[in-house]
Amino acid sequence: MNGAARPGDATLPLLAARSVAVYALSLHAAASALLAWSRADAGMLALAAAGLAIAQVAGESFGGAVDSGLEGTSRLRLRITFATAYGGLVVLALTAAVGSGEPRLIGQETMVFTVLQAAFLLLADLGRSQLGPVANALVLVVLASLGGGVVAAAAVVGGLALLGFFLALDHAARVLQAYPAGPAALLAATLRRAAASLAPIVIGLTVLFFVSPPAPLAQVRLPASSGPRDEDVSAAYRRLVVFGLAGSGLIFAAVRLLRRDRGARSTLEEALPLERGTEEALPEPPPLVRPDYQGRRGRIVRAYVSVLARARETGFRSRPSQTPRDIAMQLPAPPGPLGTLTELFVGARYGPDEPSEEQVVAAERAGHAVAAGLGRTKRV
Amino acid sequence: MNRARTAVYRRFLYAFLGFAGLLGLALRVEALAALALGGFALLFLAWRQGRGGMARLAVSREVYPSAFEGDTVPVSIALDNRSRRTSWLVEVRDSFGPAVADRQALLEPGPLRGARRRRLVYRTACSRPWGVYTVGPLVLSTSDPFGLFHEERLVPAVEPFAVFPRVWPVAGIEKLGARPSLSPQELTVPRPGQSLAYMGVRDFRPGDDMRRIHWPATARRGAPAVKEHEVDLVPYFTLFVDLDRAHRAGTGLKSTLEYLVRTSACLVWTAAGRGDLVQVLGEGARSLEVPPGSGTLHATQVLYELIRVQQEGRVGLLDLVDHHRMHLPAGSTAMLLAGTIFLDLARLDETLGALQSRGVRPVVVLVNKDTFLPIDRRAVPREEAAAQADAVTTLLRARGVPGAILAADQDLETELGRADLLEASR
Repeated sequence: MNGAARPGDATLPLLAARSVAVYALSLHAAASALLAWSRADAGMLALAAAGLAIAQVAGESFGGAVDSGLEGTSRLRLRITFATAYGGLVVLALTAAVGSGEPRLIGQETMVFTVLQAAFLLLADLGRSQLGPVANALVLVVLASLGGGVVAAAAVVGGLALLGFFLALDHAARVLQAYPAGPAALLAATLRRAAASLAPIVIGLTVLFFVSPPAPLAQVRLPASSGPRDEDVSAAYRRLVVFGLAGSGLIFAAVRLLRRDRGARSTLEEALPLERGTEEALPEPPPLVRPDYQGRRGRIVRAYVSVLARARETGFRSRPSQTPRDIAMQLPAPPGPLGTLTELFVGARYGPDEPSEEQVVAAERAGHAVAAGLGRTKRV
Repeated sequence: MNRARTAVYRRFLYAFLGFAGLLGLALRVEALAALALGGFALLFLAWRQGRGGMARLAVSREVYPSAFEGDTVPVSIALDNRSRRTSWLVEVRDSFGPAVADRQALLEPGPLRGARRRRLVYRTACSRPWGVYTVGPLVLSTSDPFGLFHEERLVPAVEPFAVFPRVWPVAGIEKLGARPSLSPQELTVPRPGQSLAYMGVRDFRPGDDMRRIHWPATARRGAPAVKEHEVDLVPYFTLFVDLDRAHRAGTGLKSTLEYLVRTSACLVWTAAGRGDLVQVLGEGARSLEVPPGSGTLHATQVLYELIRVQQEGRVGLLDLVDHHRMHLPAGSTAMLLAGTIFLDLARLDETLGALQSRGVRPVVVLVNKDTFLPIDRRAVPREEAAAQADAVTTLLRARGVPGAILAADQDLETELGRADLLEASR
């Protein structure tokens, strides 16, 4: 379906936020890799931010036109061919980077993958999912992490966090797109849920990197004075934040204005508009009242229940559908006392007559014997 | 939602994080190993949240179990969140058999707080023709916040749903038997009978019930006098439906079964609507016997029985009428709905005569099966069919029996709505 954007649709803010997330992930990964392996001055960062933003806006707005002439099978063939070629390129680049350990080569690879990132953003809609930009961004994160230090740590932590936000926004947007337009405002809730899930991971990684700063790849032959200074890195990240915010604002506004809905659903399934009722409180379930067995019946039942509790401690599990006799057949315990206890329990629990004192004593004695036997016997 | 796309991200992350982790361990690059660790932690969290999100959700459906063709039906889905956590983006798929689409998909975007229920109502049309369909099962699905793990649960809430044929008023039926009335209990005529309506007093005749003696009048006149009451004339309508398998012809909307069921439904609905006591009799694969009753609820019961009939019987219409005619009350109307015009005319004449002699007013509607696509036997030549139609018409006219012949090329709604449909002269 290639329809116009639906007015009042709650999907549009989510789509715009998703575009911002994928842009932020792209920019963060590219900037980290550039910072790690080349002289990423303000001009280069600005160029990367602007180039990626333009590619993102163009891809979101006009990307659908690229594949409009392609049949499903042609598109699939194109995607498989492209994915194979790209995978080969990634393996070749990483092998060359790791094998040579030459910073200049890795820097050049970084530039290539940064340009590829822009290309992926431009053609994001060709694959109907944003796997291309995500995969390439993660390759850039890998390249950045080879350099070690603060940049690698920031690349990994920021990359994972932005990936998480992107996935959450993408999921919410795709679900909403598959249904008729509604007033559900999910942007804040989606961000909140993603943040709550990502927080422990981000905090854990930050602590890990703080305790043990990541070292660069051992094979890399870094000249003694070539590494970026901490001041340069912090200045670069400040610039990156400014460029990123500007680019994100541009993308958010542009996508909301230009985005066309491309949601689709099987023709066999109709997505229906809903009348949503107000929330009602569920009735409280009735409290579980355990039967209280008094007198001699109670003593026999308690002897049996304590044996079951002891059996559970040793790993024995019974199903609610099992009768006492079923349990007795499976319980790894001395069969004589167990049989006596089971029969006395059945009589006390379900029988019409009050058990005698002798039966109670016999049950308690059998219970002790079974419990002692369970202690020695492992579950079969 | 397209689950394949969700799986694409998840599979990519498995492959990529595995590769990054191996690379990090092999090259002793802590950042890469940490990237893999963090990524797998994200996947694990997502998996747990996906499983947990579904655990205590419950769904149930409420729908009135019948409707007419083309009606829009509201279906209410109750979504219960029995956990403490708030649920988001819960998808429910239902399968409403009478609709054209196989599945109906609904989204509860959330928030649905813990220990709360939300009712979702969707409306869908009964687009398929009359019959008994199923509604359900329900499928409940949720995902983790990242959409990586999709959980689905099938709820076997399958219920039958009856779609009744669309009914049109049969104009000619008003002229048969009693007049239309809002209250069938008031329908009487001022001639002696057994109703509760008091008409007057007359002289005692031999055979009169002693309990009916009007003692004050007897004392006044010096001769026995009895109270007279008006006769009950609650309209009584009996429909005999021909379900003989020998009269099957046509397919789908143009078949004798379709015409018989639709015509029966229209007749019953119209008769019930004016307050008649209605009973329906037929012999298909199983007996169709709906005892006399009145009101919309009874008519609905008749429709429910009608949509389940099959034209698989081996008892002819005239045999069926002969079997039941002794039980028809005087003054009632008996509608004979045949699947063919090739009835044995002598027997038809005899049956109509027997009914009329009992004070029952017969009406005959014939569906000309030879105008439908033949299924298991050849159609009768057109000339022969025309001659038979003339013979039947002549017989009905001679007996003064209202009747009509329906053919495949006629629009049923138009034909049944004609004021002169049930006139003997047609």
